[in-house]
Amino acid sequence: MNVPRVPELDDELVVRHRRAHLELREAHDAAGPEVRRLFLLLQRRLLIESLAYVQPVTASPTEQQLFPPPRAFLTRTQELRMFGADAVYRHLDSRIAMRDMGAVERVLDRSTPVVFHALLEGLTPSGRETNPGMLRATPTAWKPEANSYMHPPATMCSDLVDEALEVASGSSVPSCVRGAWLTFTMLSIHPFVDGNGRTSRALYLAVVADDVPLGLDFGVLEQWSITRSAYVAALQQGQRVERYDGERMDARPFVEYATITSTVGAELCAARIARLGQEHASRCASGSSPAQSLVLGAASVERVLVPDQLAALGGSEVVDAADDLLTSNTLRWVERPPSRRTTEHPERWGLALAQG
Amino acid sequence: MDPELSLLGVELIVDDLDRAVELFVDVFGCPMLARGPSALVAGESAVIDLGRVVLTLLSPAATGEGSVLAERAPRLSQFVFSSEATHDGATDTGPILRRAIERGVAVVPLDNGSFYLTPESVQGALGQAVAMVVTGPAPA
Repeated sequence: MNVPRVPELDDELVVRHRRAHLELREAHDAAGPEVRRLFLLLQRRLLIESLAYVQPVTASPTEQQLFPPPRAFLTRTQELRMFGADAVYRHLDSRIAMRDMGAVERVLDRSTPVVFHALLEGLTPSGRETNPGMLRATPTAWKPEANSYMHPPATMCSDLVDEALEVASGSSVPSCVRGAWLTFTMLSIHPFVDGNGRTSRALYLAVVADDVPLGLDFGVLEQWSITRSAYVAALQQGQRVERYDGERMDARPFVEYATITSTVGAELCAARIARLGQEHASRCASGSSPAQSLVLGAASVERVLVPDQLAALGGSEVVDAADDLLTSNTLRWVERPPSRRTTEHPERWGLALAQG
Repeated sequence: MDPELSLLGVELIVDDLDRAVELFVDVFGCPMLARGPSALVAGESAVIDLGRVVLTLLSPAATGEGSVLAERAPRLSQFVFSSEATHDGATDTGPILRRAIERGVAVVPLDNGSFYLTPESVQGALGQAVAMVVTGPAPA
């Protein structure tokens, strides 16, 4: 065996992780359709921002934002990373649906790492050619003063990745352990020219998708972004060897870190559903229709809604609700700040709460 | 009322600290307030008095005491702002911090109420990666 050992994790961590995700699923299922749609709108955006690692609006683990605003002031590189992350999200979503309908056995497949890499790097976000969808054929290294650990030679990458995927697809240990182990192992192999971090984080989602009650672990990558220093420290703690050596490397610190942060993320997601539900109930009690409340909730979560986002919320009922809210001056057109106008959404005007 | 910001300092990363000091001290005649090992990263720094603004010249090292700066290419590396007390005595950086977060800038809070906007997020505004640090009032 040339890959690191899969560590045993404290039962209490695994139980707490399982409980947090089950409670999130229960809160999700108990919420109405409008609340679930708002939750998905928010968490999809946060997951994509985190997978792309465009940096969170605030890196403060102690003062987490219940409804963080969308990142603004994105560079072109960050925009392209977001496009790639969005493509990975859709791939994961489709694989989960295919598994649910019995078309595939599991979300993770032998092709998943290279597919993710092709999607994440296909648009060349860094402006450099990084051979999307191909394992590296050349040596790679971090700056020695930052991390002296040396990755395995390119000739070993293919076999190591195959072995890692085989271990991660086993079922004898909890998926949160296997997922984090695969992220650690892939980051240690560093099989791609660039994009290893994003690909490895996406692989975590693919492994746990067969076990996490909601399918996607919506909260974990946000926590990895917010606690970036701890993320890096946990990885490096297991790589305290001169060069790649599966026997001497230790995935445990990262697996523990990942399990704890996934738990925290699930608890935060449950708190978001609860608050979204309270606000929805309050708006409906004040006379809003469910569709109007959905539009108002979306404008609150996203700050300013562009027409595409409005259309994605639902059909003509949602558009009619927005018209009604504009007529009653509950919603208004506002000029979007230049920092929020992107290639995908260059619109100058958007919809915002009148009392924002 | 929000505290008002004023520019307290600027930091330049330089290749050759001796030459940079020569330019500011010997050519421009600015006083040098201090020179020695950098307090935050491996390398040496010099602090130049530019009147109302302090200029820090940093020559980072690839090895040595302290954390090693990954990107050591010469550049304008940071602005340091201080929040001045307003007439009603407010000195809290909180309102600016909250506004930055709400406008979608990536912010890293520091222990003492200070914070900085990450170079990457400032790059999205200015086209160059510069950290912007906001601290409490400058010492008298």
